[in-house]
Amino acid sequence: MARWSGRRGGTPGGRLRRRERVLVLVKPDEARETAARGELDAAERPAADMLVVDDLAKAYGGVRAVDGVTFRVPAGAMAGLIGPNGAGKSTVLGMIAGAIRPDRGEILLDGANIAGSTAVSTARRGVIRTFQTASVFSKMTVLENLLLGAPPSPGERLRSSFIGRRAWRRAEAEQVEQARGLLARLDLTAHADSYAGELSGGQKRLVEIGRAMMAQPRLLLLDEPMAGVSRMLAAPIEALIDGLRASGITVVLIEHELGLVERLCSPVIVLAQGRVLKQGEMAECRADPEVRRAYLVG
Amino acid sequence: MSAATQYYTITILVYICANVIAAWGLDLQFGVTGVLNFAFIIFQAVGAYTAGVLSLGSSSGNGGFEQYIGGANLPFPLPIIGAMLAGAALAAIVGLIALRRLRSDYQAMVMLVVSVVATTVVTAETGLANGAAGLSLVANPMYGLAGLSRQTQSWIFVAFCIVVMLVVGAVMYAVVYSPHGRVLRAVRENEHALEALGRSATHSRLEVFVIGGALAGLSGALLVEFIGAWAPSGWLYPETFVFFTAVIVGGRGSVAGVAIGAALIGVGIQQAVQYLPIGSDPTVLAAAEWIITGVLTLVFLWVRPQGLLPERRRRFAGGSGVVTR
Repeated sequence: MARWSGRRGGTPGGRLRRRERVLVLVKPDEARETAARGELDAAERPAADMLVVDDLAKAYGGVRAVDGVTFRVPAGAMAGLIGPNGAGKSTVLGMIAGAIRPDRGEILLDGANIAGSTAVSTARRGVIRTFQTASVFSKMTVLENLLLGAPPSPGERLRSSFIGRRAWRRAEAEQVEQARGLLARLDLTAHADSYAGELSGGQKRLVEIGRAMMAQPRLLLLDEPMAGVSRMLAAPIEALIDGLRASGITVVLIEHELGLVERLCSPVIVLAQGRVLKQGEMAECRADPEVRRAYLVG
Repeated sequence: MSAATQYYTITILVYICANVIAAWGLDLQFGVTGVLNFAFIIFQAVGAYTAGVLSLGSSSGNGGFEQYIGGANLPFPLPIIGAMLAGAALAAIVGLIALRRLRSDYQAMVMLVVSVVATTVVTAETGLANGAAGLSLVANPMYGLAGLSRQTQSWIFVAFCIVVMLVVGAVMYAVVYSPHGRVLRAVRENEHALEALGRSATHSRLEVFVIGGALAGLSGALLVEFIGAWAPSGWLYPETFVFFTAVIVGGRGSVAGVAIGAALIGVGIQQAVQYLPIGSDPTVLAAAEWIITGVLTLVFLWVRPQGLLPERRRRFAGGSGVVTR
């Protein structure tokens, strides 16, 4: 299942990480079995932080988009990152994902500093993100989109196009099977062979989240998963995100729909003008007069 | 078949093979992976020059008739292999400089500039590849086959070109329909999303740039060995757009479609204009060719952007990893 270490020499401390990743996508009864065998990291170290962001900063010209942001996300938690427009939420997410290079500060993933890593190497460490505008591969089928979510496999090497086809085809068949299972959960089986670009906005969101789940991430970063989603699909997407929490993946969620944040997220981190205004439960944040003012003033 | 008809047929077939191979190279770059290589023609040119120089003797040997660097007198098929390596090497150099940090629209601009610079340099620096006059007297490798008529030798060269084209076609199918091809198409569709899934778009772009460069070099080698000459006027930057039209008209990312496009655009139009009621002035015919090529590009982008034979949708046979096409 965990094939992140397949290419480019593998990840350090692979054993522990592999165990964590096995949590994802296994059925609940299987998860209990694994837990009974004493292999669950989350159970062993419930209080450990998966993600520590320390004094993170990024300026664009004179604008301090992110200005000394510090927060922690415990392993297995679903953290909400909220704040008015321009607060720096997406920049923080981009820096964690390796898409934006921070000016200063540390990003510790399970203790290792990943600040300044590229998007590719960050993803290979198991940090997977979705985008503010659903970023599917439009002229590729939904099934292909999901297959690209799976960890990079030996079959994707150039030489595999010519040699060892039998070996990778078996691995590929397993991934196709896994993707079909996921499509059934996402209620997208009928669209498996449709081009992702032909789907509605909400369905594209589902594909994007499904693709991220195929990656079996250690840390999942969701950037406004509800943006542009029709009412009809809002409930299934919320259920899907809720399911992620239950499966033990650590999630950081940016969302403007605060009801959703309240229902799903703990802790909640409120950003305003590039700084952390408040951290805690959503109810506390809601009650805080400074938070209210930030939302009103913007 | 009369001798003239035979010569005509042989020429058409060799040109089709060379064009199809080159168009596949560009299809891998532009059609499949989305790299806008507006310098594509220079990779064909470097292949042609390399093959020419490697098959010719040293330039001092011909009484100063033409000047060039090298002159290795290598036997067939070494000049052709050398041409592929030269195309790949030039692509690696250009790619490493242009493809790593720039956004794709700027990459396209850089390529266009590289193409213009290359023509200017090769034309001005006469010691390099005989300047504007170009290389000539490159012998067809099959002419060395003893005891056969010229025509038979030429037909053997045609057969060789067809075999090479089929091999390249098989390679194209293997790559494009593999999981590797899936990653390449994803680069075309959304490189940021792909990188966020742990695949390097730059790596893929460089790779297709080098493979496409080798295929362009191969096509140049086949042409120069058949024509016997190669000069800068034959690889001016607009020539690249003939291949772009071939890929667009044939169908981006479709191996068979691009082959049809290359035969139609690269060779078909050139033949067809001779039957238009516009006289036989070569300048007018050439202008008509460009007009038709340009109009076809626009019409297809407007009306049928997927091309004559669109890229196939990949479906997976139930429970297996096998792509059905």
